[in-house]
Amino acid sequence: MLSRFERMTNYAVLTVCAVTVLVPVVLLVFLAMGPTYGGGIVEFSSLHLGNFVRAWNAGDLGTGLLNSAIYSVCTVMATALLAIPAGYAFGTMRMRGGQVLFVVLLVGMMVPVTAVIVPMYYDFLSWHLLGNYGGLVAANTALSVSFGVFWMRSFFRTVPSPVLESATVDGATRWGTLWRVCVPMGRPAVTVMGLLVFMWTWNGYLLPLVLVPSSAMQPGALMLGNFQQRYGTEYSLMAAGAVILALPIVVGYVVFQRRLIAGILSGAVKG
Amino acid sequence: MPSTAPDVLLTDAGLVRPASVAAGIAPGPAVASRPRRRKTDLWPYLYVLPVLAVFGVFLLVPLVQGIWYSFTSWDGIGPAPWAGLSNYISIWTNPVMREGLANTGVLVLFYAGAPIVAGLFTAALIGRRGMRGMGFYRTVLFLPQVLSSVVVIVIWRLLLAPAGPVNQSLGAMGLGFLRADWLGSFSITLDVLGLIGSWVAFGFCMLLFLAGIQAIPTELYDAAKVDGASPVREFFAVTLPGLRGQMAVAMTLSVIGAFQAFDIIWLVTQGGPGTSSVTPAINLYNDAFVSQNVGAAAAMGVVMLGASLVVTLVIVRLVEGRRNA
Amino acid sequence: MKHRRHVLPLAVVATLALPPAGAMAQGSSRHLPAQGQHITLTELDWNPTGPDSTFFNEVNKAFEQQHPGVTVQRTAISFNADVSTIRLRAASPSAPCIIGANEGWSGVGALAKDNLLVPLNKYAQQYHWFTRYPTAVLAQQMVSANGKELGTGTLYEMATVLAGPQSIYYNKQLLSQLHLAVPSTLAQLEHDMAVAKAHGIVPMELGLQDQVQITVPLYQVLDAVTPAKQLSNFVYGIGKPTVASIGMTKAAGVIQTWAKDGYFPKDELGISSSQAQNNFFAGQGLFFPAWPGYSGTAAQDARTGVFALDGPNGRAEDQDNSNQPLGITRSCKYVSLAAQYLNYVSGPAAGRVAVHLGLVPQISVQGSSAGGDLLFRSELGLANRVAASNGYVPYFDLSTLTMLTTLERAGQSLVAGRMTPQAFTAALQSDYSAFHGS
Repeated sequence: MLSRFERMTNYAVLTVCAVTVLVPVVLLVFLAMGPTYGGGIVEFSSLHLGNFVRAWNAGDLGTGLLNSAIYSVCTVMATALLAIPAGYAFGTMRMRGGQVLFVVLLVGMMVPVTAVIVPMYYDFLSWHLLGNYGGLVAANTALSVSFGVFWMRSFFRTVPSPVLESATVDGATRWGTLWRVCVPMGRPAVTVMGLLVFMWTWNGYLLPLVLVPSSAMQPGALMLGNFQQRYGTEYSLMAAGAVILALPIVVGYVVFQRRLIAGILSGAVKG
Repeated sequence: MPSTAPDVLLTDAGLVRPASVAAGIAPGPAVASRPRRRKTDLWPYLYVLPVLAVFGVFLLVPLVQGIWYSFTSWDGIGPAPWAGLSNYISIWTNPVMREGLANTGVLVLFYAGAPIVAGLFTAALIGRRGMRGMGFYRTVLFLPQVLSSVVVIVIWRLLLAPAGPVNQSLGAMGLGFLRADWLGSFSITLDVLGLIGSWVAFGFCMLLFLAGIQAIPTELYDAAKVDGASPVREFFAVTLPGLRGQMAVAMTLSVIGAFQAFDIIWLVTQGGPGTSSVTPAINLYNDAFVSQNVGAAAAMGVVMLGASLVVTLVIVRLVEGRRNA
Repeated sequence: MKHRRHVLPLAVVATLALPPAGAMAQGSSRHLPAQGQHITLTELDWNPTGPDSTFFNEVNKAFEQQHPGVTVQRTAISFNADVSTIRLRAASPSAPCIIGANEGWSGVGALAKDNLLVPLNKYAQQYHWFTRYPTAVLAQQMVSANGKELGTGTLYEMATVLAGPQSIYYNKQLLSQLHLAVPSTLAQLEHDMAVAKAHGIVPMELGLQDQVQITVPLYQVLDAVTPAKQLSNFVYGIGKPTVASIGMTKAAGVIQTWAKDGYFPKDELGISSSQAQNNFFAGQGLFFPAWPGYSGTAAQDARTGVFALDGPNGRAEDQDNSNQPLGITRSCKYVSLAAQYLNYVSGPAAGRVAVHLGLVPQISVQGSSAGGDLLFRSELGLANRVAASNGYVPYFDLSTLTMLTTLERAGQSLVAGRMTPQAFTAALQSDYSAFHGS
């Protein structure tokens, strides 16, 4: 189909793009393993893993990662438990005023974090949500559910009618159909939603910066931010900290990338 | 409300979350499958109630409060004196606020313009029929999207330090005259920070466009081939028109992303040197948490909300309007 | 699910935060713990890491041993979190008993205005705090009755023993190689830097990407051209001062000339202060302006000393304040016990802990040795000089809520030559006028 020249040009251009993305990332990993870099030339003479241990201890990254995991897992769970039934209802049931409610929820996806962060901060303070894990989970969940409902609704609309109609009309059975039939069918859609919400929560910076005043409860991203302010000169230490923070997400991405990208690609076909 | 409105919103206006990856993309093609019900029952409301409660309490309440604060000169504690429109007026009269707005214009080019062009280009290449190994490129180009902004700035601060690898390599290649103080210059630092944003955002646009390309019927490409169209012509005649929906999503999300730019810039320059890289979000943060000027911060938040909604509506109207015409 | 997950942390927080039921019942008593009574004294400071954090842990433990039945429950948050949340924390009904608010309008000024702190004058008399500490240091924690002036009126926070003057570090090896003496006047400093420049050595390591380091050389020059009294009057708003009247334009001009003459590293706007620190301790630059407490390896410390520029009249005059002032909130149930705590953490026993940890104390500490660290001894020496001449100067940026941000940003423009010294002064003045409505 394609001429040899065309094919080669394609590969060449794409390789240049891939290199632009990969070189900085690979360099980061090398720096994390190298001992001698003070803002100048990188020497690859003696690679070792000592920086990771030092960064882990100096930056209290263990606590940070644990906190990130707590925030992310709780947010994903909460979002899924709230969004799946709602998406199911919006997607498969007739509801007077349902469209209006759905549009209201959708507006939530267009609200910039910055528009709500200030009042959120004062509200959460008076609701006693700033001294514990609840505040950031609540905020992240509130900002994720719009997407979750929208996403799950789109999936449930694709469930063939016979599957739904095989269940009887009373609510209790529909609840059973949802969890026993539809959700297992929709595992890919649920997975993609979970991965995205997990990633947003894990990588977020402004929300925890404002909503987590206690340093013991800060997620890893915030700790790395403090860390780079304190140890900004120790490039290899900083690089090691960055690698530690990114590793769980990147490993997850590599493992799930097929499913994640396929899920997004098949979803996007609809546009 | 016209019956098509919600669908327009959800397919194309999509989701706007910070640095959002998944945009107006929904799993699987829609199959009309709504079961018929004899009468309206209350069960659906019970399914929807929890999400509305959480959404209402933790998002709508702060949103409404923010609008209220924006008309006061509240300092964060005690009574909130009514201030009318003065907070909004000072967004236009205060030079630092204005600089933030002007910088947003620049950031739209880097956070939205550049990633869309680059994403379109790479997606067109990856999406071509008869190419192998494209999964690899797809995975790699999307990678920056999964990195936290803190990790991203650690990477780029290392690379762009005055004596760092970028300047070193420029010197080594005999291009020493191009060396610069990338992250400490009044003239270029905003652009450099914008480029870092492009580096992050373009994988997302690429994936979105790729999805669109896969949905374009093969026959259209075959027809173009029969007509003897060059790859470039094929791109403009077949690919680009087929990507209208994705274009709307990409533009909406990335423009709103540019409006609320914070992390990367805050972590590197805090708006400096001077005020050359301040953004509305940085001004908002300073107002709220440094100068105890909560009313002004809330006003900035409301302006950003309004701008986001307007951009969404305009883009959806433009793209959808043409499609429906 | 979500709720179940949070029951545990919430429960832990709750049990830690509340005194046991018995103590609650008698909690309204403002007296010291009776025999067998248990009291939890809550304390909040901004030292989550490093030796400063160790200092509070050790001092709290010692205080508990002295006061059986008392537990000091400490919360440490970052300085930035403290500055932005302190008013709300102090206003909360469950506010910590002892709370650390920064000097100036963002902290003690705001809390006193909102009537959130217990006045400490009674305890200052009882424990002789005004003889223990120089008035110029305690003035930074004082607010007038109408809440409109700092530096006068009622004492609302007590300084802790942690302190230390702003200083300029110097590389002893380079200094002696260049046959130079440690400067104490502006002219001497400029001479040393000119010599270093001529020998291809970076005269002053400075990194302004993170903005804040500009304050040190600027205030040092300000100290050298303007008497301490005048600077302190400006910060406290005595006699309708203007930014121009305290020699700011001259000081800014000096800084800009240094930048033009290449006394700072090339690309100073693109490197962070920690990069500058790194370069200095690696032996690259002659001077490094910063606060006390910076150090490198033992070998690097051994070749490092500190100094500060004298005032125009030859006295040692320098920016110095308590690194962690503490106040007592209105909602505190054990005010007199809390005052005892403030007395302890500002007293000689706490001073010995500080010195032991390598932290410069605000008061001269008897019966302790500074150990073998020459750099730390040099820091102590400077602190003692400033103390001897009572040359304490409040930080200029305490003058308004936003002055630090304004100054940092304008400072970058000044160094880059994009703003004249006159425009620099005007920028600071407009911040000052906007805040004080003059």
